[in-house]
Amino acid sequence: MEVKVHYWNQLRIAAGLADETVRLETAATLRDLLHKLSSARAELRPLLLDPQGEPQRWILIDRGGVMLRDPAATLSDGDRIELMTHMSGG
Amino acid sequence: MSMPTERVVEASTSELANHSASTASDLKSGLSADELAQHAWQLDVPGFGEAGQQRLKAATVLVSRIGGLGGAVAWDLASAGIGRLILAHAGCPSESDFNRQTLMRYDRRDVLRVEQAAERLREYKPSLQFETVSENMSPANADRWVSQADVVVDCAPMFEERLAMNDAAWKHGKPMVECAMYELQGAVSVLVPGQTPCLRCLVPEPPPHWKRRFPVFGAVAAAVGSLAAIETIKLLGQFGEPLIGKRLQFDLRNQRFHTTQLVVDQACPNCAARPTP
Repeated sequence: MEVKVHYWNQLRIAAGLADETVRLETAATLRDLLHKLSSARAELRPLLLDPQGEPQRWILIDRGGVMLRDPAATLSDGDRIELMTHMSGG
Repeated sequence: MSMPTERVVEASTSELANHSASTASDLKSGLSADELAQHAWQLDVPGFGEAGQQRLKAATVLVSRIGGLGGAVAWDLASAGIGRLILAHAGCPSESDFNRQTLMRYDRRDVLRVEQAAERLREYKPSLQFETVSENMSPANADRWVSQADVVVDCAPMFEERLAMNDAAWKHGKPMVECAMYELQGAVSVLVPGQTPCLRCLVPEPPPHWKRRFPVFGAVAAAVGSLAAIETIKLLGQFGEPLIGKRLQFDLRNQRFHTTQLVVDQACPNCAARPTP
């Protein structure tokens, strides 16, 4: 199956692109997606995953307009995932 | 490590009205002829009117800090006729602030930011009342200033300050408008105690990757600040559809806008004890 990923802010800079389509096994989870993205681009790993390989708690993951917290959530073919970090001001 | 279960919280403007009830019920005076004249164009906005203007006049808003984001927020709130602003920001402007901190004067870099901001805003809106605080928010002072506000607008650069204000806002039941920026991107959220996730649900601790200095244009700060100001105006004026429990993220590089419904973290010390609606 394929999911579309859109990177925002610092994640876009780390990824070097704004959008990509990722091929995953059927019934892959959010955790599987984040590991695949981190494996493809080393700069993304510390932003997406903690040292235990779990999603960083300060990234915001959106599927279909709703925040997705559960790394075991099953993804579906055609899902669009928005990945963003929190920002501040100045 | 397992992640907390998720829960979507939705809230409406009418629910939020409870937070502004004291503001609305405490209206002691109407609007003067000068106030009616100054705000005539916005009094015609459907759903706002004189009742909304009176609510703004009766309101106190804490803006922390008053740099690129907060300066824009303070200016727009002053324009709209907010009654009282608490402006918090430590120190004097530095040279590198002058691409975005538009309330400051380059020839007065030795004058406190809050004094300069108050002076500029007072020139523009003489009736505006101020409290200037030449400190940044921290666990030591957030309670004092947050408790005096009807709405808190978070424009701080450091997550430590943001989380201190968040915890105080949750303690005192104050809505918080979160605004942030990076490069050509911005984000605005409206977080309401008892109705939505708090900032600590979203950022449990300061992200180690975040640096004090980051790339940004002043025009981005102004755009984000204006969006935060209109969210504050809608909250206090009790009209429109504020971004309650949602995060608007946008990229001005390509004018892409996206809204996310935020979800409570069941491990959050501020929100975990809340019953699931």
